[in-house]
This record gives sequence, C-alpha cells and structure tokens, in this order.
Amino acid sequence: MIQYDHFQLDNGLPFYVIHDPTTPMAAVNILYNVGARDEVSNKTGFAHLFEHLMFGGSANIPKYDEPLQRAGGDNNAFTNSDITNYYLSLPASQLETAFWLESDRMLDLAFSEKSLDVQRQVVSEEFRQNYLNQPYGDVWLLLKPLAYKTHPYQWNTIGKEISHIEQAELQDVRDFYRRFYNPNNAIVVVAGNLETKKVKQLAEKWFGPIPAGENYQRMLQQEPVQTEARELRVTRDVPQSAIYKAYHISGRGDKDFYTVDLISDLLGSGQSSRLYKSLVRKQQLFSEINAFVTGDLDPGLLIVTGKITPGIDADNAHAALEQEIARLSEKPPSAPELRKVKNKAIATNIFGELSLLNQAMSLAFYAHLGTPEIINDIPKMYEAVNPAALFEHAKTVLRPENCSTLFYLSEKN
Amino acid sequence: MQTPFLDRRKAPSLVKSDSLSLNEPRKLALDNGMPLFVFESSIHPAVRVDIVFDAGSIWQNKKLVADTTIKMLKEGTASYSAGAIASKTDYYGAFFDLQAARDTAWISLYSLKNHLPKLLPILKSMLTEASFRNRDFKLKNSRQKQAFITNNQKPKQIARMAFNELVFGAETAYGQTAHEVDFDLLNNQDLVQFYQQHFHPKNAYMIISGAVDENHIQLINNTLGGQWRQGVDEKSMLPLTHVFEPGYTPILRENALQSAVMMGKPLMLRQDPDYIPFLLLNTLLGGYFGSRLMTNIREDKGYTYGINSQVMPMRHATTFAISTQTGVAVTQNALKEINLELDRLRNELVSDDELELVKNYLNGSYLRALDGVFNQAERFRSAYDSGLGMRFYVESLKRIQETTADEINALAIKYLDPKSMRTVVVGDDRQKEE
Repeated sequence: MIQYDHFQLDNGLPFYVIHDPTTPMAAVNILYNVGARDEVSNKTGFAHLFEHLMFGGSANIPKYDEPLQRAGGDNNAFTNSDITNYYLSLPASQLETAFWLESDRMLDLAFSEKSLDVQRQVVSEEFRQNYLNQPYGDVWLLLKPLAYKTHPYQWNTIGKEISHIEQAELQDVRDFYRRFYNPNNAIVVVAGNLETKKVKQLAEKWFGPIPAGENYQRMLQQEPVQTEARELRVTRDVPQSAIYKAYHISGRGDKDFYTVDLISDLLGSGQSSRLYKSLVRKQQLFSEINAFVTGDLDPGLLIVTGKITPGIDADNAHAALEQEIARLSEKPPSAPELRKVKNKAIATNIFGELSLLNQAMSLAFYAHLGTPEIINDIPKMYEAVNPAALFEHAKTVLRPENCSTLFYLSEKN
Repeated sequence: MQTPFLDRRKAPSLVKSDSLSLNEPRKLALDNGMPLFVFESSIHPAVRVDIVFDAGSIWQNKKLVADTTIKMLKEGTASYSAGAIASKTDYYGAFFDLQAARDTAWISLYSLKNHLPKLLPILKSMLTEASFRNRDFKLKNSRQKQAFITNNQKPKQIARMAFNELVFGAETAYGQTAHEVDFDLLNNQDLVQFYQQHFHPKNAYMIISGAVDENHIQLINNTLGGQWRQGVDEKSMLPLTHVFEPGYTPILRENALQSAVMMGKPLMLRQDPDYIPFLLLNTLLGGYFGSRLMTNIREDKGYTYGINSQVMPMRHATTFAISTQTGVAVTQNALKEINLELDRLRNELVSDDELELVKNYLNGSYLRALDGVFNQAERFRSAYDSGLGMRFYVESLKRIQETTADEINALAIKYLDPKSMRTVVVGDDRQKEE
C-alpha cells in the first residue's frame, strides 16, 4: 500500500507526497501535460526536442545538471505521445536543491541559440542512432502512420523526419514553453522519508510564486473507426522477415483498458502465451513473438510482433498467426488461463513499483489520468475482468478490419 | 500574503551528507554446505532468490556453452517440460532470469512472498535434473542464433565484439567471442557435460533478499540442501595469456549514418590500490551526465546522442572503455576531442570545484545504488565475487572522498595515454568533404 498526501498551490500546481520512512533517498517526479500529440504535423518531434532544451539552463540558473549532481542527485526525462516527464533522485536531506532547480525551469527558461543549435544536432544523432542506423529501427516510423490516419499518434515522439528537428526555431521554443510549461499544466510527486508539512512549505516557497498560465484546451481530431484491413510491405537489409500487427483499442483511462491488457497477455506475453506455444514452440514458424498494448491516453493500439523463422514464407507465417489470434474470438479463455494472466499482471505491477522513483512516476501518471488512488487498486482492476466480458471484447478488437499489418521483409528471403 | 524576497540565483545550502552505513547480510549455509546470504526486509511482499555458480564463459571449452547451459534450464527437466515450467511460473506471477557472464552464471527467481513455496520445486528441478533434450536444444539454439545475427547487425555490438577480441585476445578467457558458426558447432552433450561439472552446491552460493522469513529459509534448505547429483568432475579455466597492443581498427560499413566507437584497454584488478581512485577519475571523464566527455562532445559540440567511459571489473581482468556513436561526418572530430579530454586530464590538475562536485555525485550514487535490499543483494553479488562484502562499498566511498587532484593527475598519466589504447570504429571514419 502506497501512502500519500495531496495538496494544491494557488497557481494550480498539484503536489502528491509519498511517505517512505525506510530510505535515505528522495524522488521527485514532474509531469507536464504535453506530448507529441500536441504538435502540429509539419513540426513534429518538437515536444521531445523541447525536453532536451529543459536541461540547457533556466532564468536564474545557468546549468540544470551541475547543482543537482553537486547535491548527489541524478536525473533524466522522457517524452511520449501524451506527456513529458522529468524525474530525479537525491539524498532526502538535499530536497530543497531539487525544488530550487525544478521551480526555476518552470518559472522561466534561458532561451539560447547555442543550446537549441546543439540539441538539434544531438536529437538528430538520436534519430539516426535509434531509428535509422539499426536493424528494424524504422518499424514504428512505418507502423504508426499506417494505423493512424487522422490522430497525431500517426507520428512518433522522435518526429516524422530529421528535417522537422533541424528546422525548429527559437521562436517555436518560446511559444511552446509559454503554452505548456505552466504550473496549472503540471503535476509534482515527491517521495521519501518526508513530512508533508515541510514539503508544502518548500513548495510554496519555490513553486508558489510562479504565475499560472492560460489553461490548455486540448482539441485533437479523433481517429475515425477503421473499416478495412490495412497492409504495408517493405523490404529491408535485415536477417529475418518480421510481421507487426496493430489493432485499435481503448485509451489508458478507459474501463476496458485492463481487459485488453489481459487479452494481449493471453496472446503474447511470455513463453506460456498462446502465440509462443503454438507458433514458436510447436509450429516453429516464428523465432520470437510478443504482444502488448501501448497504454496511450487517447485510443491506443494492441501490437503483435513476430520474427519469422528463416526459410518460412511470410504469408504462411501470417496466416498461422491470424488463425491463432482468431481463436480468442471463438471461445472464451479457460478459468485457469485467465487466472494465470491476472496473477502475472498483478505481480508485474508489484515488481514494477519496488523503487521509490517508480512509485513517484506511477502516481504522477495516475494523477494525470484523474485517478491517483488507483495506484493501490491495480490488482482490483485486473481481478474485475471476467471471461465473458474479455471474450466479448476480444471479438470487437481482434477483427482483421480493425488491424494494420506491416510486413517487414528481409532482402535475403 | 507578503512573500519574502527569494533569491533564485543562490543555490540552497547543501546539507553535509551522512556517511554510508551498510549491514553485511546474515550468513548461513544449507545442509550441503552452500553459503546462503540473507538481506531481509518486509517492506514489499516480494522475494528474490539468486543462485550464483562459478560457471561463466571463462570455464567453457567451447564457445556459447556457458550461456546456453544456463538458458536451457528453463527448457525442460525430468519433472517439468519447457511448457510446464513457463505456465507454472506465469501462473504464480514469478520470473526466472538466467544469465551467464564471464566468471559466473546465475539464476534469479523473483516471486511474491506467498507464492515462493510453489516455485521452489521447479527451481530444484532446474538445478538438479535439467534434461537438455535434443529437440528443446535445437529450438533454443536456433532462436539464440537468430537473435545473435540480428544483434550483430548493430554497429555498437560489432564494435564491442571486435574491441573485446583485440583487448584480451581471441582465444583467451576474457577475449573469446562467439561467432555465427559457433551455434552450428554446439551440441546438447556439451551442455550436459558443463552442467554436471559446474551446477552443484560446492560451486555455488545463494542470496535471498526481500520479505523472507525463517519458514522460507527452512523450506529452501529442505528443497535445495541435499546432494544434487553424484560425482563431480574438475573444472578448468581458459588461458589469460595475451599481449595487449594499442592501435586503431577501422571497420568500414558502406552507407553507414553513424560510427560506433570503442576505445580503451585492459586495466588493473579490483584489488589494486589504484582501482578505487580510478573509479573517481573515470566518473570525471565519462561516468555521469556532467562528465567531461558528455559536456564537450554532446553538450558543446552535438556530435552524439551519448558518450560514456566505463570500468568493467571481472575476476582476473578489468576493461576500461570509452564508447559512443557519432555521425559519420563528425567521427574524426569526435575522436580528436576524446583524445583532447584524455590529454587534459594528464596535463592539468582538476579544480577543487569539479573534484568536489564529482565526489558529491558519487556519494549520492552510492546511496542510490545501495538503497533497499534488492539493490544491496545485486551489489553484494559483484563484491563477493572478488572475495569482498558490503564493507567494500563503504571503504570505496571513503577512499573516493579522500582522493586528491594530484592523485587523479598521476592516475591519468599512468593509465590514460591515448597512445596506450585500442580504438575500434565501426561505420565510416573517412572525413567527408562538405
């Protein structure tokens, strides 16, 4: 059971405080309600580029990292389609340093041409390293625009292409900051052996004076229902052909999310999953197979990926894969099979939140969903899924016309 | 409300941090003599069991044997098929992690506290009666081979393999590197033999961490404390002999967008008096985000997404390596800047300010890395392998805090001459005309 308190500053910035008396460390997580889905289609990759710029110094502090490291702290951040999340850990006795640093970059950023120039290059190298100069690196660059035709989830957090990053200008940076980096568009979680009263004092001292910004109204075009199966075939210099299937599902906050998460586990989580048993171990058509859900806030995707055994025809492998997926729409899972995936999901949740930092991150995310209390209710959410409802849901999700399929074919075959 | 003036330019004063305090684990032994170390904490309802064998790749007489042997433990035993192991483990929400490194190989079981009794019989079966059936082996081996081939297309992986062979020698304990053909040469009898030689209580120790109680310990002794099998052969280690030669090895890849760079050398062992102060020097050079390499090559020049330097200690050898991936157009520039940073450490004393910063940073990172019993169990494994306990970390941190700028400079002169290193560049190092 994770115990926490909550308060909100007058400028709209909410705080959550997790009590853990057993550790000398403190964790601070700040979630900003902005991600790649808030970008415009000709300036993609911007939210992530901006995350890099948040380390380039703020109004009163020339360097973010140095004072934090001097206090024994370490930090990082990530951007996804929905949020930009900054996190750090440091000895609890140095907590005020974290408040000083984080509040200053929430108050005002030092906008420098030099920092923008360097980070444009750094992010371009990140693009090359992770998406272009790796086998299978461009899979997501191909799959997302196949699955999404309207919604901004059609582009990846890194951006559609390097040129978008190279063209980012300082004025874009300023506008983006003003629009999104406001106390009323963020959530702070602090965790450690801390008193809420003390945290509140520090919060008021450092974050209290930051003026609220305009409330951000998100108005995104939602993805229309997909009505026919989509397919894309590409050929690449890779050792093995692969198949990627993407089915539209509900958003992370939807009540069906836990159901569809269990559907993905039944299909392809681990070596006791249906796809592994049938297609890897028994038929040996694939050498690797996986299924998972994206967990996006707007309606997301259930993804099935498989690497095809060399020498096996991709269409035959695909037919067998579709057949195995369809079985879940023909008959509900047995009680022990459902019990298995529930147990595993519940245990995974517990193992995932052993560290203070992970707890802080999760709580910020659930608070962002509007339901911080579910941090302690995840087991109940999975327990509540019954076989009949899961079966009905599988029938609506696992339809070929709800699916986009990418055939990523090896030149060698 | 009247707000007092807040000077945001001034950092809050730092609190003098407490020194690291750590307890050694409780030391017990199973009835068969296997040492058992216990890190107990009931904060989370989870337990982790690690069993570490002297069965890493330095003990194998054929490539891939150590790694494949431990990974095959999940692929079927006399009592459980591969499918049964997977479905029972998943049913109880548990995970088995099987890894082989150079010196040791280990099996880690993560379980919720109340499910541990259900998992111990499976663990016992994996350790005492793994079957290595040929069809299970063939499937596992071909899957491993495919994953290897894919991994081997990654520039960073190619660089790492070439670097390792060059630094320690292709047929030695720490330099041997598997190639695609080695998968075809492997057979299940190799694994059976390795298993019988190495997977027994006299060649292992166990660490339990998390919400364990006396009943668990009793149960573990009842399950794993007997004799595992009859008759154990002597094991033998691959040779260490190799004369390291510095130099430059470009591996050209046409149409590469980036070059993967590895640069480094063999270093002193963990027991050497230079080792701990060198960790401080390494941190300064490339061991944290604010390091000199990151500050110069990423944050000032934008040549890379990341660059770091690492010290990787093993039982009879230590590797030092700087690694990065840079755009092909700036590969030569990046190499030049790396050399420049090495020279700067050799030619100039580090300032008090920077030295203090790195010491403070390391203080925090030791606290972080040793926070909670699961982290402590993890760290204990690497210290114990060198015959040390948790005291190693307390003393290391103390030694780090005492290290002076002169010592750092002397170490840099002794170990960080660019001409003493081997550099591998996978990609394209030919400077393009703009």
